[in-house]
Amino acid sequence: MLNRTAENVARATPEPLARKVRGISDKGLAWLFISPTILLLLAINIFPLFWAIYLSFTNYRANRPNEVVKNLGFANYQRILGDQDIWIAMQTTAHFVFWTILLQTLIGFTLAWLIDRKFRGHAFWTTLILVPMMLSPAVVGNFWRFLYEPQIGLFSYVISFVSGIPPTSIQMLSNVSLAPWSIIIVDTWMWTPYVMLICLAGLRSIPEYIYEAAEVDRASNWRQFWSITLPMALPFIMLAVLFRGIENFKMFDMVNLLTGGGPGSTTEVASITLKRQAFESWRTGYSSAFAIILFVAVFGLANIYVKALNKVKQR
Amino acid sequence: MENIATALIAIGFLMLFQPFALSLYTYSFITMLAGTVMFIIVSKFPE
Repeated sequence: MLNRTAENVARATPEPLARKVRGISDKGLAWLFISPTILLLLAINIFPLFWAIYLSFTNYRANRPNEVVKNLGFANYQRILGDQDIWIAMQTTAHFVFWTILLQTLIGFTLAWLIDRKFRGHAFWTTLILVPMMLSPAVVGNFWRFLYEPQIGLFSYVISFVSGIPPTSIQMLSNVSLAPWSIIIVDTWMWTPYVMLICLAGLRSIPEYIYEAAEVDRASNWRQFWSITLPMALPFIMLAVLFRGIENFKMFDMVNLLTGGGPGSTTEVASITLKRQAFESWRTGYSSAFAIILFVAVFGLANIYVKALNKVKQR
Repeated sequence: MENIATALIAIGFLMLFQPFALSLYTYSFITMLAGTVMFIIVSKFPE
């Protein structure tokens, strides 16, 4: 059947094309097939990276394309690395990344562990838990703005009901100390299901016979969790942390929709500062240098993280 | 060598996001860049 299809294809190939293809080696044919992908990758990933590196050494402004571009050397980098506002934005980013990852990993793993118990209706609950992850960040940002409303918001009402504080004094988005937490809550709500899904895959990959052997050895449930479940699911947990870490370092949409970096600059994460420099102040060269600094930070961390992940997998 | 590169990246990363001294923040990028370049090179060496 397959041979016949191949023969039909060979017969249907126009003679000039067939003559051309006949001379190509297997390796050449492989290159022919992957070259469109490589070209696309070069055009949309590699070229912009090198272009941004070039721009980071210049005073280029995207709103003044006809102006003469001067080479500034490392001046943009020196300015960024001496700027106190950007240093504070970095600390805000670190605070945000630390808490979101910690909460998402803890809650995500706990949910995965509970779902893995295979209780009645667990498929329904899995689907329900996954819903936030499927929503668009724009939708999530907008409806959480309503939830956080001090007058009509359900979130404020629930907190007021539990704590007895009047709902009008729960200003989640405009209070300096609450605003960062409002974003952390939304990001955790939205992306915990993603961490749960990866952890669930890890838990489901643990062979049942290991638990049976542990039962024979009369290992307690606690002991089974610490000696079997956690070490065997660890590579998956680490993978989830890596994905969320990279994603949260460049977090923009949720912060922009919920607080826009405010009140003041309390929630101004690095990506918001970058956007302001690039598209409000139009300092393209300066913002390119900032983007390269963030890129090196995430790239370096991802490298050592992958190294640690490989070590855990080899154990 | 790979361990030195890893340590440089980690130290640079902590320097970039720490809230204690601006001077540490200033030298964070060069530390991280040195570590990353070193890591890329030494990770290609046969073990």
